[in-house]
Amino acid sequence: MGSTFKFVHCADLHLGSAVHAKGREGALLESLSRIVDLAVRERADAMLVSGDVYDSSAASPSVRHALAAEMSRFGGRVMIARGNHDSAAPWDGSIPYPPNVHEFPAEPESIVVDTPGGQFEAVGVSFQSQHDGRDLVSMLRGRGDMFTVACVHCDAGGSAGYAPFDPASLAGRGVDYWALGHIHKRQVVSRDPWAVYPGNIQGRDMGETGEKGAYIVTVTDGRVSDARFVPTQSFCFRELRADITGRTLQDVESELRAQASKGDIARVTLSGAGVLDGMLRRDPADAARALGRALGCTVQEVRVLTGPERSPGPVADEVASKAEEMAALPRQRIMEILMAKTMLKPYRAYFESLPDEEFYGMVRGAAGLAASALGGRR
Amino acid sequence: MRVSSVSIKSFGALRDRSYSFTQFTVMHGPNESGKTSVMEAIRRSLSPTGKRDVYPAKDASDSVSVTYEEGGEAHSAMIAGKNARGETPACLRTVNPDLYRSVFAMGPSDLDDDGPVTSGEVSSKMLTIPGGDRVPEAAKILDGTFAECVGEKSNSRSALNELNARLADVDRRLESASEKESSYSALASERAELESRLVELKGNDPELDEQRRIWGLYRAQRANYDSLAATDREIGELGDFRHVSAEDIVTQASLETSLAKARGDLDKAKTARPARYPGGAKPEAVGARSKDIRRAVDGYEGYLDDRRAPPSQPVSKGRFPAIAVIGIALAVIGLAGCLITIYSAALAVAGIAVCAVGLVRRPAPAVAEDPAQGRARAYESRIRSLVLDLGCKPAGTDADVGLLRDILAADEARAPSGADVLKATQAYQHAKSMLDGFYMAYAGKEGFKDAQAKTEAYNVLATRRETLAKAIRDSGLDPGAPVCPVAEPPAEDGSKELLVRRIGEIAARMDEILESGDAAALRSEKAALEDQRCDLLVRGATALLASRLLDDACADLYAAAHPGVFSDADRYLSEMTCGRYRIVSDPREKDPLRVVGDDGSKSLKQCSSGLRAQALLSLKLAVAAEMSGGEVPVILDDVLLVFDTERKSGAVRALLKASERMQILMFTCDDQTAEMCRAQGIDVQSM
Repeated sequence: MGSTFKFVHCADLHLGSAVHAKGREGALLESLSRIVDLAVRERADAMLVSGDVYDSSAASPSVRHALAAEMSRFGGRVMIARGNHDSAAPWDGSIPYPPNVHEFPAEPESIVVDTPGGQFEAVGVSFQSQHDGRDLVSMLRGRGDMFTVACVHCDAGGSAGYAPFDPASLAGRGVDYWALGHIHKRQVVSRDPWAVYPGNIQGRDMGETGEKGAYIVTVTDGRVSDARFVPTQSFCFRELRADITGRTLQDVESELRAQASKGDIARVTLSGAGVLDGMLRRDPADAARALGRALGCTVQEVRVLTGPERSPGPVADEVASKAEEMAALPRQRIMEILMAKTMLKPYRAYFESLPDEEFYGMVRGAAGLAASALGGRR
Repeated sequence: MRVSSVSIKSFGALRDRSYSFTQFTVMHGPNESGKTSVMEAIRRSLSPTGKRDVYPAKDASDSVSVTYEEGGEAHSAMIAGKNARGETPACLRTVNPDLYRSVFAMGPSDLDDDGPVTSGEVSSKMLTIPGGDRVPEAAKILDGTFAECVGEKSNSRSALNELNARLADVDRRLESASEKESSYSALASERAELESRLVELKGNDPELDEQRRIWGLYRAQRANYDSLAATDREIGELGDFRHVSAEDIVTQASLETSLAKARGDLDKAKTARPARYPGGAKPEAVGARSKDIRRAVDGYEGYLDDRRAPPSQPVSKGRFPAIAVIGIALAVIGLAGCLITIYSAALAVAGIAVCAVGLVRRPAPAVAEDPAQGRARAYESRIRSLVLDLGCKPAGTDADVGLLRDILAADEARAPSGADVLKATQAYQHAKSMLDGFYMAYAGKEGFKDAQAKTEAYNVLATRRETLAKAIRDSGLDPGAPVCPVAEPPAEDGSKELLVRRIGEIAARMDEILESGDAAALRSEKAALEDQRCDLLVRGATALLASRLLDDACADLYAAAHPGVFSDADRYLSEMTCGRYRIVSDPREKDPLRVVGDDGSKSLKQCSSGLRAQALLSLKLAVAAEMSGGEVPVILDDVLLVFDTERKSGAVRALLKASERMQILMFTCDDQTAEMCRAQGIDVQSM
C-alpha cells in the first residue's frame, strides 16, 4: 500500500515584478494568497514551488515578508527549488523563511516528508546562479520504494543556460511527479510519469494571457489519482479579436464578450472593412472606453486594423495594392522606413522585438488608416 | 494637321493679304501691322466661336480662307460674313472653343490665367488622377497622426515626448524608492551586529545587570512611591468618620423632602379659611387678625361697663413749675449781689433765663378727663379701625361688635376640623422623628454634612492611591515595599542604552520600509507607461507607413497616368529658365502643380508674374501636345514680351523643341525675338 496525500504545485511566482496594469500591482500577492487558501481548503499536506519565486534579486523586503507570512499561514511542508530569477537573493538572512519551508540546495537533495497518509520522497535541486547550464533533470533520481516528487526549474525547450533537458529523459528516473517550473504557459509535458508546468500564477502583461494558477495533486495509494489546475489569478489579460465586416457595434461587442470575463484587462484587435471603421478611427481611446463598459473589462487598447466599407477610389485601391507589396517585404526593409525618422531610432529594439503578426499588423493597419483618411475622415 | 496658308480678302482692317506657313513660322511686324487680326482670322476659321465681343468684331464683309493639311489631304476652312464655312479640322471638332483659344491660340493675357489648366477638364484629365483631390487632406491626416503620436524632434509637442517626460519622472522616483529598499539589508545586518554586541554586554556580569535592573526599576518608580505615601498621609488626616454611602445620601434627601412636605401640609391644615365671611370681610385679613377680633369681642362687656360709669370731678390744676421758682431765686440773689459786685448781674441774668425756660416748658394745663370714658372711646376707635381693616363698613360700635362676633363664629364654624390638623401634626412629627433618627447616626445634621464632605475627599484620594499602586505593580514592584532591596549599583558608561536606542531606531526604519509599497507601485506605473509608449509607437509607425503607402500609390498613379505632360512641361520650363526652375506634380499639395527652384517649391499662384507666364507657357505647350498628339498647331501672340533677354532666348529654344511635335505660328512685334528666331534658323516673315 502506497501513501495517500495531497500537494499543491506552483511555480514562477515572480513576486515583486511589475504588473502592466495601473493600480493592480497587488495582483501577484493576491494570487499567491489564493493558492495558500486553496492549499488550506483542500487540506494539502505539502506545497512545491518550482523556482522563480521572486522576479529579481532586488525583490522588495515587503514582498519577502509577505511570502514568509503566507508560507507560515499554510503551515504544511513547503519545498522550494530556486530558478534563474531568484538564484541570488541577498536578504535571505534578514528575512528568513519560516521553519516549515525547505529550500533545495544547488546540488540534488532528497528528503522524506511525513504525512498522515504515509511518507513520500521529495527530490530537488536549485539553480546555482542566474544561468545554469546543467541538465538538472538528469541529476535527479527517486529512491523507488516510495512515491517521489521532483521539484526543479528547467527548460523543456532546451535553451542553454536555463537547465535544458530532453523530455524523454523524464521517464525511468524513479520520479512519479515532476513539479517543473520556468515556462509561463501551463502545460502537462507527460502523464507517465506526470510532468507538469503549472505556468506562472498571474498574468503580468499582454504576453501572459488567460487563466493562471496552481495544480492541486492527489496521490492515492502511491499513484497520482487527480491533478487539477485551479485558477487563482486576480485578473486575466486577454487578447480579443473581431471582424467588423458587415456587422454592427452590438454584433462586435457580443463576439468580444464571448471571449472575455468581467474584470479582465483586454487588448482588442479589430479587422475587416465596414461602416464601423470611421467610428473606430475617430477616437480609438473613446472606443476603448465604450467597449470596456460593454464588456465589463478594462480595454487597454483597441488596435484598429480595419478599412472603410467601400473603397474611396482609385488612390485607395492603389494604396491597398501597395500595402500588399509592403507586407511581402522582409522586415528589414520596413524597418528602414521607420528608422528614417529620428524620433523612432531609439526604439529599434522594440520594433524588432515585435512578433511578425504585430509587425505586419502595422502594415495592415496602415492600409486601413490611409483608406480611411482618403475616405474623408473628419 | 498643319496650317499651310491663310488668304484674307476682308477681315477687320485687313484687305487682301495672304501668308503661307512652315512648321515654325514667326510673323514679325510693328504694332498695328495686323498680327492680332491675322491670328484671329486663323483661329476663328479653325474653331468658330459664338462669342460676340471678339476683336476684330464680326462683320458681314468678312472673307477668310485657311488652307490646312490633315490626314495627308488639303482642306480649307473659311469665314464668309459672320459665319464660318468650309471644313473645320477633325482634330478640333471635340475641343471646346474656349479651351482652344486658351491653350492652342494664346495671347499675353492667357499666360496670366492658369484656370484652364489647373481646373476643369484639363486638370482632371491631364494634371491630376481620379480621387487625387483627396490626397492632400489624407496626407495631412496621416502626417498629423504621426506628429501627434511621435513628433519630429525630441522637443516637439507629441504624446511620445510627453510620455517620455513622465517616464523620466517615474524613473527618478523609482530610483529613490529602490535606494530606500536596498538599504534594508544594510539595516538588517547593522541591527544584527548591534544586537549581538548588546548580548555580549549583558553577558558580562549577570548579577550586576540584575542589580542595575532592580535599582533602575525602583528609581523609575520613586516618584510614584512618594506620591503614594503622601496620599496615605492625606487619607490619615481625614481621621475616623462615618462614610456616607450613596444609599444614605438618597435616604437623607428623601427624608428631608418628606419633612418639608409634612410641614407644608400642616401649615395648610392650620390656615385653612372659609371663602366668604359676613359683611364681606376679607378672609386673609380675618386670618391675620383673628386674635384681635377675639380680643375685641371679649372686651365688649368691659366697654359697656365703662360707658355706663358716671363721670368724676375734674381735680387737676396747672402748677407753677419748680424750675421757674429756682430761676426767680437765682435772679433775686444775682440782683442782690449787684450791690456788691457787678459780676453778680450775670447770675441774675442766668436766674431770669432759667425762670423763662421753666415757664416755657410748663405743660399746657391738662383738661381733666374721666378714665372710664377714655377707655370706652379707645375701644370704639379700635373696633372701628379693625372693621375697616377687615374690609367692612363700620356701622356703630355695637353693630360692629356684632359683625365681628358673626365673623368669629363663621371662622370657627368653617375652620379645619381639629382631626385634620391633628393628623397633619402627627405626620409632621413622624417625618421629623425619622429624619432625626437618621441624623442621629451622624450626630446630627451638621455631622452628616461633615461626613459627606470627608467621604468625597476620601474617594478622590483613594482613586489616586489605586492608580499609583497599579503603576508600581505593573512595573513588577510591590506598592507596600517602597524601599529598594539592593544597594545602588556603580554608574554605567551608557553604551548599552545607546545600543538599545540605536536598535530601536533601526527597527523603526525597517518597519517603515516594509510598510511602504512605493517601489512596487512605481514599477507598475512605469510598466503601464511603457505599455502606453509601445501603443503610441505602433500607432505612429502605422501612420508613417500609411503615409508612405499613399506616396507610393500616388507616385505610381501619376507616373502611369500622364507621363508626358509633366516631363514635357518640366523640360520646357527648364529650357526657358536656363535650368533654374522645374515643374513637378506633388499630389500631397492642394495645388499639385509645383514650380521648384532654389527657393523651394511653390504653386503657380505663388510665382512672380514672369515666372508664372513661363511656367504656364511650358505647361500649355505640354498640354497642347498631349491633348492633340501634336495634331493641332499652336498659335502664339506676343507671348514672350514679358520675358527678359536671357529667358526670351530660352523660350525660343523651348519653342523650337516644341515645334518638333507640332506646328507653331508665333506673331511678334519684338525685334529682339525676331532676331533670336532668325539666329536659330526659324522662318521669320515680316508683315
